[in-house]
Amino acid sequence: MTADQPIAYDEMVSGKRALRPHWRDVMALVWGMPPEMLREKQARAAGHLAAADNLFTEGAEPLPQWGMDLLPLIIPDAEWQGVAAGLAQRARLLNLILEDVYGPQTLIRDKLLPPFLVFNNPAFLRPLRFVTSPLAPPLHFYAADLVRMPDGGWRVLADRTQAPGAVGYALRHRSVAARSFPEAFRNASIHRLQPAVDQWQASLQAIGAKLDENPRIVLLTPGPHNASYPEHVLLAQELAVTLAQGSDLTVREGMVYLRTLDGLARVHVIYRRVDGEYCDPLELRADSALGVAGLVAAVRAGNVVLLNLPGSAVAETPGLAPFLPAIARKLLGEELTLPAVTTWWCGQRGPLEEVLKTPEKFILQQAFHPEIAPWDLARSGDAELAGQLAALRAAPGQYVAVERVMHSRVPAFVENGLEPRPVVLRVGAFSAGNTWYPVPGGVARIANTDDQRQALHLGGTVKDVWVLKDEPVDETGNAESLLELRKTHRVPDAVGSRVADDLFWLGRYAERLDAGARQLRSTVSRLVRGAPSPREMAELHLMARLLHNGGWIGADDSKAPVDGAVFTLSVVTSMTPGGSVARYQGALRQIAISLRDRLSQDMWRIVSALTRPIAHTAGDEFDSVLGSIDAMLMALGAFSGTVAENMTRGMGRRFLEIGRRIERGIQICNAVDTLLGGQPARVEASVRLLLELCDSVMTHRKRFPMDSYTLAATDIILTEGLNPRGLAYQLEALRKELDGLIGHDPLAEEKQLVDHLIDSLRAPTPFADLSHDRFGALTEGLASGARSCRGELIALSDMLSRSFFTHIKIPQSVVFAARDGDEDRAAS
Amino acid sequence: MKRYAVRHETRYTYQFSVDIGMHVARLSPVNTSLQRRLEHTIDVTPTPVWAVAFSDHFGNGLHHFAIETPHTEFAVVQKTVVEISASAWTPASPAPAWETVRDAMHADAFPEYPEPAEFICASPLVQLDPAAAAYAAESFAPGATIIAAAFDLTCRIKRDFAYAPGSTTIDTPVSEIMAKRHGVCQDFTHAMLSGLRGLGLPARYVSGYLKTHGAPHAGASHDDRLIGADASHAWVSVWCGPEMGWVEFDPTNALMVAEEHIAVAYGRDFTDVTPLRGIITGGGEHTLAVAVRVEALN
Repeated sequence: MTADQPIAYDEMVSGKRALRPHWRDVMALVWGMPPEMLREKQARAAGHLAAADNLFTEGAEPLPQWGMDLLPLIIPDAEWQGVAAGLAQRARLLNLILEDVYGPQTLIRDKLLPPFLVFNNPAFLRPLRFVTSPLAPPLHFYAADLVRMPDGGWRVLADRTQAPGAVGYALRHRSVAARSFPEAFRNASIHRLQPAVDQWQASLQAIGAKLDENPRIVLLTPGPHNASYPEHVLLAQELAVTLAQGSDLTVREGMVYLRTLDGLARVHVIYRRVDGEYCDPLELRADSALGVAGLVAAVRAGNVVLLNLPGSAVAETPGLAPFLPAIARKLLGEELTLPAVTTWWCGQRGPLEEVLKTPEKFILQQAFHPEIAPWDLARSGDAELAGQLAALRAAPGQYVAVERVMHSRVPAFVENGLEPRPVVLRVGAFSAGNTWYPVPGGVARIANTDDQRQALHLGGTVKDVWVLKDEPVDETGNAESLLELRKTHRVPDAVGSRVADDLFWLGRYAERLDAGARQLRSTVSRLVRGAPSPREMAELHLMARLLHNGGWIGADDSKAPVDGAVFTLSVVTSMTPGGSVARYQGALRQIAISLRDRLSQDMWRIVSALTRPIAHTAGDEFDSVLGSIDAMLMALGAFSGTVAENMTRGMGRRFLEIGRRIERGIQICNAVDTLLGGQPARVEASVRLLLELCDSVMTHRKRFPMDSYTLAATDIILTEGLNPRGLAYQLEALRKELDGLIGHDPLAEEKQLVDHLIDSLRAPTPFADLSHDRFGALTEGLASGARSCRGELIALSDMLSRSFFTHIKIPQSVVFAARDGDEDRAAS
Repeated sequence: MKRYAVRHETRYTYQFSVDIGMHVARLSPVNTSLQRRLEHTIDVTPTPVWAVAFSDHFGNGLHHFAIETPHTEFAVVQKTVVEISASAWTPASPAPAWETVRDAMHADAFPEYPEPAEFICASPLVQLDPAAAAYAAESFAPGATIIAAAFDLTCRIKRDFAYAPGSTTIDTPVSEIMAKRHGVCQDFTHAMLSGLRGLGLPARYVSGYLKTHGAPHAGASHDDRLIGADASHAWVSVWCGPEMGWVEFDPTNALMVAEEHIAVAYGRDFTDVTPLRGIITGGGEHTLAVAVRVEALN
């Protein structure tokens, strides 16, 4: 460290090596605690954070890696007031700049804003010019990344005006911190986040109320593959708004609608978390699959409010920073109280020459692409530096130079205790009417080095942020802040078509896994005994066919000798990563992720258990696999129980139930067909297996105390209406659920189909006559009946898909007109 | 002063029924200092359930149509009567040296005239291609007037590039046009824009129509007709300093725009002036028929 290098500000310790007063209580706790206990708490916090996101990590790009640090970043109230005021001032300013850029553009004419920074800016979306709405300002939610300088003052490292995240993450970290370190919250007087969230919700409602007294508000998300999706889910829940993907919305006659099971429902306010240019394939990026065709036209017509206005990212252009103070003076008549770190735009001669002369003093950043990692010119090798300076010379307007920043230090948990680490603070503010409301809290990220400009959704180690209150704690308030009790919000009433589709398939896949798990358990438990008896051989033959028909093992494998290695390997492989079980687990997980906002925490944990990879312990392969299957079946039991006992009886649950009943029916038919079809050599073996697979052994024991496995016992599986594992039960339940889909007349056909199936089951069965000569005809009759029933259930599934879901999957195509000079070719 | 009646019809025929179609049209000739729209109608079939007119960032007139009745054919017919005054400028007109215009654009972040500054930047279809800049530079001798130099470039493009319909596509990059030296009016316009902007000069894309001479349907010799045969056309608009403003050049026909070009829309390149853009649900394959007719009224 050279002599003139400043010493970083320490958040916890003052220059006189004394603990700052606002850290005293927390540090007294930390230091009074045995190190093992602290380590355990730290590990628990990390675990809670991981659990909060659990299923999200799969398929998200890029994969966010989050770590949680137990200790918060603490900001005293007085200091926060300054930061908040500065934040609100910047938000006001950036909003005015957006109003001007998308309106009269006087800032350019008055030489306050270089035209290059607007016209050459990829974030400037020309179709949005003159589309500012009288109903809401272009900037509604603003966030900033802050850094505290050695002198103790906060500076803005980056403005975020596109569609930034902050509050959802902050809520998540608060709840993790409150769980892992409750004693720290006991005496601390901390600003709660919930009142701000409630106020934000009220603000969205107020904006919508200008269009409709009961406005519908949606949060537009790119979907589960977006790395910020967990935040979207959480925010949608907290704000009590509908989480929607582009395909859930449609524009008709210039108005935006949500596709629901009850038809189209008008949408009045869209809080977007999709980048602006992806919002409308008609007028913006034609290749976007995340937006809604015609959305910009609907906004232009004033029929919907879209927040932030697409194109709002112009205001976060790093190149703007040097011009903000003058614009603030002009538009606000104020000096910026929360300035940015010193930034020079290289499109001006002075800064360009300065950087070329002494490059080692600067960090070079893209003027229009803050997401691209900056170059620290002091750390570049000679050849690298030459290349970087050549790029700068070729297009100076594309770069900004920023001063080197030394972040303040916070205590962070490392292997052997606490260490000071650089920190970046993400804070956010929303507007309500003409006022900006900074949210008292945020996300503190631990940086490994100084000059961190990493996007929030990329993850990192995070801390809860406490803004302390000055006044003494109000007891009830404190108790609430302890847990950040979730407010019970009005549940969005309309079930989107996609949501219904997802719930339907969640039900189907859960049942398919249930059937597969039972079949694999029955198979493995016979294999594990070794040297199978003739009866077990017969059963394994049947299982092989069933596993193949269910798609769990391949055709060739199912024909291999059932006491040989090929068959055993194939059964085991079906349960390894990449095998058929994992594939269905993966499918179930994907659906659950896209339903995340509609599943309770308990359901979420159950799905998580359900999709846990099957354990394969070398040496104890069968035993460990059986353990895993049992755990999976337990989770499936919990799944059914939660659906039955804990899910509101709404349309969504109905679709889940319909999916489950159809799939369970299909699986029963499949088993009956496979086990009884093709003249089985030992009917008792088939019947015994059927009862086992349909979890009806106990029922059978009660009904048939003599332990006889005659064909008559199939009655329990097929026609016994009281057996929840039987076919008749599934059909009756289906009929009831279909009746409940009121107001959907096209269902007449579906109902008829189920009625027909029920009738054919009720037809007198010829079980009384079991004379030997008719035996073959009987088994074949049952098998073919099951086959046709399965076919009808699959047809029913397709019919429901057509009635309710297909319209969301119509592909949209883009048409371009012929271009100039092509008429000869086009007009034939 | 010339008067023209323009009829421009665009017709899509779809393989399957289209349930919903949403279209944005830039088909309304703009009013400028030299061009006045006297009459203008746009007819769409089937009848849109929703239609709005608005102006874009460049001042072009747009229409948004939403069609929500199933259809297998979609047609837009625009009819306009315009009055055009001839530009006063010729290649020999006294004009500022081209370097003066360039330097006015680059006055350390804050150019004196910010409006043309939008048109010195690269745009989606006009990359700043070094070959295009080098090619253009040959016309821009030190001290040459901007109007003479731009006209020289216009004539060289006509001479050096082959008019070859079908040889390029809607988004052929400038570098390819410069390498192959062929294309249609859109390509020549993009190449010239790239060259001019590469020299730091503001230049716009103009889409519109061209009145051709000779009897278009009588099988007459095509020699005396301008290329663009009563068709939609594209050319270049160059900012020639604050006094002259924007002056237009047609590199496809090696001429300065006088009284026979009818401008519809201005932008940075073709993406800003696309005559018709749409999103449909359903439809399958489609065929497209375009017919343009320009009739002199005096």
